[in-house]
Amino acid sequence: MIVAENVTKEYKMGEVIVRALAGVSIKIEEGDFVVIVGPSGSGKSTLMHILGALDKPTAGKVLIDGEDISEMDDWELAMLRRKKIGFIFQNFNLIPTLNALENVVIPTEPLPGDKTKYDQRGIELLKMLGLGDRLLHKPSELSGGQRQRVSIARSLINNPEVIFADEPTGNLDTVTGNHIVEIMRKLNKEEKKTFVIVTHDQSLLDYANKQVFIRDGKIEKQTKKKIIKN
Amino acid sequence: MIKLSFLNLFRRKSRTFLTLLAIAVGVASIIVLVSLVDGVVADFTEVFEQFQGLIVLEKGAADVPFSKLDRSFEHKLEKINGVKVAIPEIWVLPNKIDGQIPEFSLATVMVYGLDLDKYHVSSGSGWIAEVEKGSFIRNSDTDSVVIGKKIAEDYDKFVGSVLDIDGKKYRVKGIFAGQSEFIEGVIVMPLEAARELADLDADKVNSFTVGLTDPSKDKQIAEQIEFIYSDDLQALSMSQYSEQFGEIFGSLRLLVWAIAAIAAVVAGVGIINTILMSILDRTAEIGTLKATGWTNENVFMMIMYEALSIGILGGIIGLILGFMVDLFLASILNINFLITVPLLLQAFLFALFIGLIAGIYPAYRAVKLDPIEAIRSG
Ligand SMILES: Nc1ncnc2c1ncn2[C@@H]1O[C@H](COP(=O)(O)OP(=O)(O)OP(=O)(O)O)[C@@H](O)[C@H]1O
Ligand SMILES: [Mg+2]
Repeated sequence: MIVAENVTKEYKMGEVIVRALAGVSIKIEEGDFVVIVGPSGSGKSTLMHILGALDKPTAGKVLIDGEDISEMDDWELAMLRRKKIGFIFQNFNLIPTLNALENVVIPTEPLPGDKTKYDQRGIELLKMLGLGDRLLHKPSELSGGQRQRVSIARSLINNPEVIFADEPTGNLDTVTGNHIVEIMRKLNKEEKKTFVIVTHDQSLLDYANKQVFIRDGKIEKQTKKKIIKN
Repeated sequence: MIKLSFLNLFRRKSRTFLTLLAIAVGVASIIVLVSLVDGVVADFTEVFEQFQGLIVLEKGAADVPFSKLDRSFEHKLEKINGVKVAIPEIWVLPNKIDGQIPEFSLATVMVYGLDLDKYHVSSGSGWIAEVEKGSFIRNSDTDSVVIGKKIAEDYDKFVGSVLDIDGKKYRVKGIFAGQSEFIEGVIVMPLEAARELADLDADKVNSFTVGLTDPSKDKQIAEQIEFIYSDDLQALSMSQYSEQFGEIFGSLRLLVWAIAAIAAVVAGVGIINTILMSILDRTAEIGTLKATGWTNENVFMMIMYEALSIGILGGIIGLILGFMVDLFLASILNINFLITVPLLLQAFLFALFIGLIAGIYPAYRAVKLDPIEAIRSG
C-alpha cells in the first residue's frame, strides 16, 4: 500500500521555483486500478515518479508499505523498486539491441542465481501477452502495441505489487491503446496487480476503480467508483 | 550484463572500431618496439657469453676501434697472475668491400685482425665461431681471410673466392657460422695484415683479448689490471660489457614504454570519449534500468565492462597485429625479434589497465544520471 501525505515537489530553475506538486495526498490500495488524469504540465508524471520511489518529495511524506522513502538512500530505493514496483513508459524505453525476451528479463540481470528461471518466466509472460512467437524479435521488428506489451512483460518480470504506467497508450492508436489497457485490467483482475495509470486520455477513466483529477499540482477531485469497463 | 555491455559496443560500430584501433596500435607498437630491442640485446648477449675473459683497451677509449695501445702490454699482461694469454687485436671498419661501401646496419662489417697462432695455441676462447667450410688460417696466411656467413651471403663468396677490402685482394680460406649476425659480419685476418689495412704503427694494436685460467675471477683480474696500469688501461670483463650494454638497452626499453604510455593516454581518452558519447545516446535506457531496480553499482559495472571489453578486444587485436608486423619485418629486414610471453602478457595487461582506468569516469557519469531526467529525455 502506498500513502502520500501532503506531498510537495519543487524545482529550482535559477531564481524561479517551479511547483510541480502542491500538497497532494493520495492512497493506493492493493488491487486498485487507479487512473490519474490532468492536462499537460499538471504534475502527473512527477506524482507518479514520487509514488514509484523514483524521486523524493520536497516536502510531505510518501510511505510504501509503511516505509518512508525520504529516509532511504539510492540503494534502498533501487531495492524497493526491484522488489515491489514496475514501470511502463509512453516511449516503451526498450533496448534496441536486445530482443523481446532479453528486454523483458533485463531487470533481473543484476540478480544472483540461475538465469534460466527468469528466462522461463519471461517466456511465460510474453506468451500470456500474445507474443509467444515474437520472443527473438528486436524492438524495431515489432509494432507499437507489441512493443508496449513487451514493456508490460518487463514491468511484471520481478513480480511487483504495483505497476506504474505513464501515458501507456500515448504512442498508440485508439484500438491498440484500448487493447493495452484491457491487458492491464486483466492482470489487475486475475493476478491481483495494482495499477496506477497516468494519462491525459479521459477515456481510460472508465476502467478505473479510483479516478484522480489533477491540475496545477493539486488534486481537484478524487472518486472511488465501480468499474464501468472490464 | 556482460552481454549487454558487449552489444552496446557495437551500436556505434565505427566509433568503437576507431577506439579499438587506437588501443590495438598502441599494444602492437609496444610489442614491435620492445621485441626489437630485446632481440638486439639477446643477439649481443649471445656474442658476449661465448667469450669468457677480458677485453683490455686504452683508458678512456669508448670502444675497440678508438683505442690504441703499445704492443708491449702483451707481455706485461701475461705476467699478471691468473692471465693465461693476451692476444693482440686490431679492428678495422672497412671503407669498401668489393668496391662497394658496406651497408650500414646493426651487424656492420668489421675486419678483425689478431695473432692467430697465439689464438690457436690458447685453443680459442670461442670468440671466433666454428668454421663450417674451408679451414682456419695462420699468421703466415697473409693474403687470406676467414669470413662470417653473412658476408659470404651478402657478397656471394665461397671458399677460394677473392674478397676485395679497400682495394686489397684476399683469398677466402674459410667461412664460419656464428650464433648471431654480429659474429657473422666479421672478417678475420692475421694481425699484421689488419695493421696494413688500419695503417697502424708497427708497435701499436687496438686492444687485447685476455684469456684467464679461471674465468670466474674475471672481474677481480680486471680490477687488478686497472689498478696496476691505472694511467693506461681499462679492462672490461665480458660480463661487465654485457651488463653495460644491457643498461643502455634497458633505458631504450624504458623509452619505448614511455612512448607507449603516450599512446595509452591517447587511447584512454578515446575510450572515455567513446563511452561518454554512448552514455549520452542511451540516457533513457540507463534511466529505465535504474527505474526497474538496477542499483548504481549495477550501472557502474555495466559501463566498466564496456570499457574493459574495449581494452581486452583492443589488446587482442594489438597482440595479433604486433605479432604480424614482427613476422613481416623479420622477413624483410633480417632482424631477430624476441617475443616473450611476459612481453605479450604485459602488453595485454597494459590494454586492460587502460580500459579499466578509462572506464571509471564514464561509469561515474552514468551513475550520476538522474533516472527521471533520463526517462523524460526518452
Ligand atoms: N526537472 C524539472 N525542472 C523544472 N521543472 C520541471 C522539471 N520536471 C518537471 N517540471 C515541471 O513540473 C511541472 C509538472 O511536470 P510533469 O512532467 O509532472 O507534468 P505532466 O502532467 O506529466 O505533463 P505531461 O502530460 O505533458 O506529461 C511542469 O510545469 C514541468 O515543467
Ligand atoms: Mg508526463
